[in-house]
Amino acid sequence: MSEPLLSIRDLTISIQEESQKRILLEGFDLTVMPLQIVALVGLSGSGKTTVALSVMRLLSEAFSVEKGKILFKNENLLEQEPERMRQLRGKEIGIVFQEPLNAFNPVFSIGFQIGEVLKAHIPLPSRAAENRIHQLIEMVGIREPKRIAHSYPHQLSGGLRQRAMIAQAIAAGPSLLIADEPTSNLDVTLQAHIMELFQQLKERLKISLLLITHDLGMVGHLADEVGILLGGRIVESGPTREVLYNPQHAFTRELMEALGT
Amino acid sequence: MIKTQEKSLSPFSLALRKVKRNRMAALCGMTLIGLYAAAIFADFLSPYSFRNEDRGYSYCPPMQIHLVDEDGQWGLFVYGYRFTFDEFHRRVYQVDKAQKYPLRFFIKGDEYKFLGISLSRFHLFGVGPEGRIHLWGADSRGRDLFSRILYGSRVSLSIGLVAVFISFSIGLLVGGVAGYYGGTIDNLLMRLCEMVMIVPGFYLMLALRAAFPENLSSLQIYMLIVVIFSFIGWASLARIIRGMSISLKEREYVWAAKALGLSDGAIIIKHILPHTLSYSMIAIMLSIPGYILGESALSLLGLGIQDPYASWGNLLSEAMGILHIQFAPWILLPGFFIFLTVMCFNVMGDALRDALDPMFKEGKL
Amino acid sequence: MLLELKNIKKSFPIRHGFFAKTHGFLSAVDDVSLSLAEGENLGLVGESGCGKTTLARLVLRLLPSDDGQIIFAGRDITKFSSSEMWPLRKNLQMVFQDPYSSLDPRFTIFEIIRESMLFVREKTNQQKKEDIQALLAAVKLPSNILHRLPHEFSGGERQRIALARALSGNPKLLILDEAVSSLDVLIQGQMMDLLLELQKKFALTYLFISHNLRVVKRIAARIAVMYKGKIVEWAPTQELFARPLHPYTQMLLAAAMEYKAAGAPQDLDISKHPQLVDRGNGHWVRC
Repeated sequence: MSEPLLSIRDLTISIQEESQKRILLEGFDLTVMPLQIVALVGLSGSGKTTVALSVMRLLSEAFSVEKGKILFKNENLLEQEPERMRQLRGKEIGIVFQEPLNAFNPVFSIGFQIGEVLKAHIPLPSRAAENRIHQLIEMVGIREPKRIAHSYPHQLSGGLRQRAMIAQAIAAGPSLLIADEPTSNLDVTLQAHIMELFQQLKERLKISLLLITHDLGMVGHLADEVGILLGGRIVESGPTREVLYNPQHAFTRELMEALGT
Repeated sequence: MIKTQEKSLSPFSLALRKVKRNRMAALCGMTLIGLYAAAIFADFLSPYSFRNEDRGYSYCPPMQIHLVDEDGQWGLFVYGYRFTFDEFHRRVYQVDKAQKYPLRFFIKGDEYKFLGISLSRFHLFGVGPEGRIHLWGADSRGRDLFSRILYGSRVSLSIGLVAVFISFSIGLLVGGVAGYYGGTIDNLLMRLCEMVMIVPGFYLMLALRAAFPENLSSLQIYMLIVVIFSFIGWASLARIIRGMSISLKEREYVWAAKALGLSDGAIIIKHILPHTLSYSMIAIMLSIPGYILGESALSLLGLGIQDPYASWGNLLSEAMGILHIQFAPWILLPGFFIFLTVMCFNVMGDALRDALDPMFKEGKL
Repeated sequence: MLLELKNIKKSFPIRHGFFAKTHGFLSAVDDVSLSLAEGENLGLVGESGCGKTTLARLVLRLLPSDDGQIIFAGRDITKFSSSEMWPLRKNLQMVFQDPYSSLDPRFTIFEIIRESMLFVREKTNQQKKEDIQALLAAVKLPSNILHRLPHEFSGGERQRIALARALSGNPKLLILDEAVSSLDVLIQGQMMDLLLELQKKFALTYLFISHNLRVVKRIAARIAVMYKGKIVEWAPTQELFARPLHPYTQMLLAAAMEYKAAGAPQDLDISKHPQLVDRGNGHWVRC
């Protein structure tokens, strides 16, 4: 019985909007074990991205964490100093966002930006760093790593960009990868490829994945465990098979129906 | 989630709110409003007409308003001056406590046309015909600087606004059309822009002014300056608006409008140009100082507004001699007002730009 | 036939270099022929970049086609000028892909939908307002939102507003270009239900463009699969799902229904098969 990699307990987050305070998450619980793919399913605006950002401590000042703990390898991330968080980000926890065009800086090449992550956490001499960058690009299934490393974000197609973002996220060898709606902007065919990539990465790099999505179909084919988020709290959770084939909560059933077939 | 608030705020009004919260900008905004209000009511606020001169008060220093006199009597008043000549045949003024002029409000003075409509003789304050009041001193001909600065503000403050309005209208249209149509039209218009931009502004301004006869009426000179500024000012805005227009025309709501059958002109005016406003407004605010300074420069050189009419620029032309500055430093006061106005516009422009910055990302707010 | 496309071609010049010299042409739509009968929804499926959006714009005459014919409701509109297209526009409308940019953020909902009512100038503002409220009710939105701005609404709500806008002229053909692709799965389902309901209510016909066969299945009677500007397969929906013949279709099907990744798309070479071949059951393949 191993220790959980990520354990979110009773997380309650609110946001100050104009004159009102709105509760985004309430008593939120989630666990990710090592070598596990856990899916967090909810609709837009349900607070899923807030979960991702709160783990990375990237929430703006408008948000306030009312209570709860975020334990990563038994360290409470909510209590850490900014310097410690900086060390963790990228090195221990990587994050992939929905729109790679926004996440990448348009004036630097892909290779340069992946290199930045390496520089911050694993300083290598330039030759070795370059090789490592090409390696990473190949690892995410991109052919011609050299050409891509010199390309700029806008020169790549959506699918390639997303892969490049994944390469950047895993560059420093994190043990947890958070993917926030990683394929929502992509065609189904690309989605399928990215899903396959995640599976491969989990096995090759021995990482866990926290997958945030609204698509239960994707969850069914990729995740080990799933949590359904509604109204700021988890209304149903468990092994994917169980939850999908035997949904207890009305919302889960709605989501299953929307899948159609 | 459909919010239940009553009024919906456009991104622009949200930005204005932010600007209001910025104290410095609010202060500058109030200052500008004050200056423009003063310009509008210049005739009423100033004790004298801009022409009113009295050689006896040539280079008279500023007068202080006193509350209590030597005998302990209360009441607002100023002391007169008597003068002697020094070794340079220059007047040296000394306060003459024997001449006491009480300050009177709503006093009848020089005639003027209020707001250009009705004749009036009322002035906010002044002293009777027995003396003179020069709050900020007088110039070489004994004309009250306070009054002249107020009258001068009319020219200096308005010329910027009128010129900017014309040049930006031209710039927006040219840029919008060039960006939207692309191809040959774009090419032609942009080359035209570049030709205008190549010539250094200041020299172009001088050359254009020189092309016209020297003695034109004051109004004609004013219009001429406005036209000249408009002519050189539209090009740089046009280029930027053209760039924005090129990217804006690919927005889906533009395609949607085309699908609805809207004409090109309607699309440009209703859907494309309004989205350049955030940039244009800032550009306008930050370029008005340029026009104010341009007019000042022209008038300073004697090519702009002529005597006896006042503008801050030509008021400063009196200050060009170092001796004047040394012995009558109040002559430089118009310069301070130019500085103040320019600074206020710049601060407001910056605040507006900061407030609109996150708004530049259209769509997801 | 409500809409017929015959051998439509459209290419764009590829410009590089300092003087923007034209190096070659990208064939966005390469000899496409389609037909759509009234009441029979057509699904057009393909990945991003296959030319489907260009095709939609060509049908709407927002772009001029290089070659071929577009026949709408019996009239050849291929070379129609904008004034000739004007009276037809209300019959042929489109809902665009991105709900966040298809509505002008500075216009209120009232102004957005009213803009589409250019066709009925004779009506007063009050009459238009009532019409707009009726439209909003039809797309299941409350009528008190007229003074609100687009950014206050969610993606699904905005698409419904765009739908109301498209419906204002009572169109015969409505093109939906990836109209539900950016919505949550649950909201997608709601939109599809709404579309089907509106079809019955207003006698509409849809040209439904998407990359996801799973979604298209719900609404299309027939499906055309597009790859690199060409139609590679074309069959009634049931038939296509039961017997997908072209490898590309099979790939799309596997990805949409089973989330399976199969082969890289750039490996497919279709230049060897210039013709669509009839395989029975109204099923045509370029194979």
